[in-house]
Order: sequence, then C-alpha cells, then structure tokens
Amino acid sequence: MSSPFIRSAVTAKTALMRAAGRPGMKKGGSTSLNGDARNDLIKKVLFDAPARPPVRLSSEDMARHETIERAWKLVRQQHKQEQAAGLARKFEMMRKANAELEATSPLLFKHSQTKERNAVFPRQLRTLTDTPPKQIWNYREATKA
Amino acid sequence: MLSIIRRQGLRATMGSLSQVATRTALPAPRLAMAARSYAAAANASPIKSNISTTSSSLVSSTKDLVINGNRIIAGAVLSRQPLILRDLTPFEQEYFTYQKNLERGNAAPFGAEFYFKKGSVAERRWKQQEAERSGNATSASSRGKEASSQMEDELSEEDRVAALESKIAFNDRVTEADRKNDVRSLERSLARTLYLIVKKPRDQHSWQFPQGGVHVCENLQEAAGRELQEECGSNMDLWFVGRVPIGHYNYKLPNAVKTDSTSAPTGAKVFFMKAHIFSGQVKVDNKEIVDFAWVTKQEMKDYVAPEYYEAVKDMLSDF
Repeated sequence: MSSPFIRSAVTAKTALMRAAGRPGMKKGGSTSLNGDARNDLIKKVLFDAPARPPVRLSSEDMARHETIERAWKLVRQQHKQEQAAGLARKFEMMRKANAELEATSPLLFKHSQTKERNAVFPRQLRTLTDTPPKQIWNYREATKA
Repeated sequence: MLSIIRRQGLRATMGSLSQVATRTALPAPRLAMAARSYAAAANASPIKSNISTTSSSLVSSTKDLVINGNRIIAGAVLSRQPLILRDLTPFEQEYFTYQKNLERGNAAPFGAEFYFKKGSVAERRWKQQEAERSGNATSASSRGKEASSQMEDELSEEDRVAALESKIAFNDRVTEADRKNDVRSLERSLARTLYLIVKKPRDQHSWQFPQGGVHVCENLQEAAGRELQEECGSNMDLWFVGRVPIGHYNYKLPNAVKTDSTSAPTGAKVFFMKAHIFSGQVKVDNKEIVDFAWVTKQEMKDYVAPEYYEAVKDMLSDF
C-alpha cells in the first residue's frame, strides 16, 4: 500500500513556513528542536497531504447523477410544501377561532390574548431520537400525595 | 438577580393593572407573579401544569357561562408528541446510501497507519470494517479489492469476537403496544403525534375531544384544565401551549341536553385549547367519560363523527 503522503508541489503554507525560517522545513529534514519526529509527521499530514482528486464521471453517469439530485430536490420541495400547507391550515383554524371568540366575549378574548409574563419552555419536551429509551413512557401511578 | 427582575416585573404589572378597566377590583398585592423560573421548577415536584390562575384567584363560581343563548365550552386537544424520528421513505434510504458510497469513493486517501496505532483494537476494528465494505461495495475501488484479501487473512477469530462484544444494542422502534394495537397505550406509534379522544356514555357522537362548560369567572385555559382534571384524572403531567384557542366548533344543542332551564341555551360554542402530555395516563371517572383512546390524525376518522372530524382535522398534525 503506497503512502498517500508523497510530496508533490510545495504548498503555500510550506513556503510561508520556510520563509519564516522554521527549522526542519528543508526537503527531507527532520527537526531535533523538540526531539520528536512525530511533529514532522503531523505537519506532513496537515500541510502536505494531497488534495482530493477531482471527480471524473462519464456523460451517462453525469446524467444519472443529475437526475438523482433533481429527484431528491423535488421530493424535499414537495415535503416542505406539504408541511407549509399543514401549518397554514392550522393557522387559519386558529385565526377563525380567535375571530369567533372576539365576537362572542370581549373578556375571554382579552384573557386569551394576554401572554403569560414569565413563560418558560417546558423542560420535559423530549428531543427526537432514532430509537426509544428503555422506559418509553412514565405512567406515574398514584404514589403522589 | 432574579429578585431584581421580579421586582421590576411586579412594578410593571402594577402600572398596567391601574390602566386596565377593572370591573372587578383586584387588589394588587394578592396578584403575586408566579416565579416561573427554571430554579423554581427544579424544586417543585407534584404534577403542576402551567394553567394561569390570575382570573379565578379570588372569585370563583360554578355557574355555566352562557352568551346569547350559546353555552361557551372549552375543549382540550391533548397531544403526545412523537418520541422518535420518522421512518425514512425507500427513496430517502436509497439516496442516502448512494451519497455515502459516492463520498467514500471520491474521498481523499485516508492514512490508516497515521490515525491508528499499530496493533490496537481500533486498528483491528477498522480493518474488519474495511473488509466488510469492500465485500459489500458493487463498484469497489481497486485499492479496496487488493487490500481486502490481505485483511481477511490478518483477521483472526478473537478479533471477530472482540468486535461482536463491543456492538451496541438499540431498542426496538416498533413497541409491544404497536404489535398488540393497544389504543389506550402511550407507547404506540412512537414516530407519530397521538391525540386523546374520550367516549361519552351515549350512542350518537360518543367519541370526541374532552370538553366541558366554562364557568363565569374563568378563562378558557383554566376551564380546559379543570375539565381535563375532572374527566380524565390528575395523574397527567400537562403543559398548555399558551392561552390562545387553536380552533372552534359550533353546534345546536339537542333538546334533551339542556342543563340550565332558566336561560335555556340553544347552542354551544366549543373553543379548543392545545396541550401536551409529558407523563402519566388518563383515568376515566365513569360518569361523563367511559373510555379513552390515544389515536393519530388518520385513525381518528374511525372513532369520531364525520362532521366533527371535518371540523377539527385541520388543527391536527399529519406526522
């Protein structure tokens, strides 16, 4: 297995470091400043590793790839539109309910539009995970006072 | 720090209170602001929902609110939010596999001898995974094909056993309640939103959201909370999403269901309040409610009357 770290052209970083006069930047040199050749290896991995090779696809493969990407974008767009439509329906229901409440009872309407001053987000709202926990639901039997 | 904020807030409310037209004169000191901070929440323990208590802190009444011949009713749309991520569609799965293979095929060369210490467990695991991947890959890179044969020889029996022991066991996404189709369970359909519907002891329109009449000195959130407690028990940790109703439903009362003969309401207006349940379960009181179910939006069609479903379906989540 050939090493992927064959030095090709001198990168801008190495040129800069060489100009700054850092020891061990000459070709094939190893520094004894820290007494550790591992630093050289780390520098080689960070700065001298070759760039990612450019992706070469035939025209057929390119067409396939483009089609797949377009299909993905289309599916995501449809999903987002469905979500937005669902939210719009919910909002419309809420708006109609509030209009009805305003017409019915001004006092109840005022109470409903007054926000709670120190409202905080409930800590029990669970983040979604891939799989459920061991105890899926706490049924909290009547051990409470 | 918190006390300073509380004092400033209290002064602000005092100011605003004096401006608000008070039909019922509420003496200011009694209207203490609930300190809904995280610090306070940490100490509290019995189930305490966020229902406002300002309007009924002094005056309470059990008289039903009737306006223009319509009973005002507060209903509760109590939902159990999904607990796990939704299942991927087949197209999504295929696309993610495609992207992963593309990324792996076009990635910059990876120096395994740099990242893994020679002879370590991690290096062994990496070599085994590489062998598996080159075995599965349809269009394997040439490097993978040459290396896999070498790697297979290097893997010994104990390496494979070691890799198996470190495997993590995940819990099943399909639960016992799913298999038994137990509609009363809160562990069913973990990827969907479940809504509570209750059954009244009558044959027509028996299944609906829990609801009850608003009393004279109550607001909608308080009424919904009180009705839920009366009908479904207090063994539930609830949280009401604000004081704004999310939907309404008007209907004419059949003559048999007149509660107050003097004012004789002819119709009813239900305003639905949104709430979440975090733990606990419903306990039927067998007087107003005889049964309950936690159902998804699609399943609700099988329980609830058609015109009721048409009126309420837009409030509910599709997922």
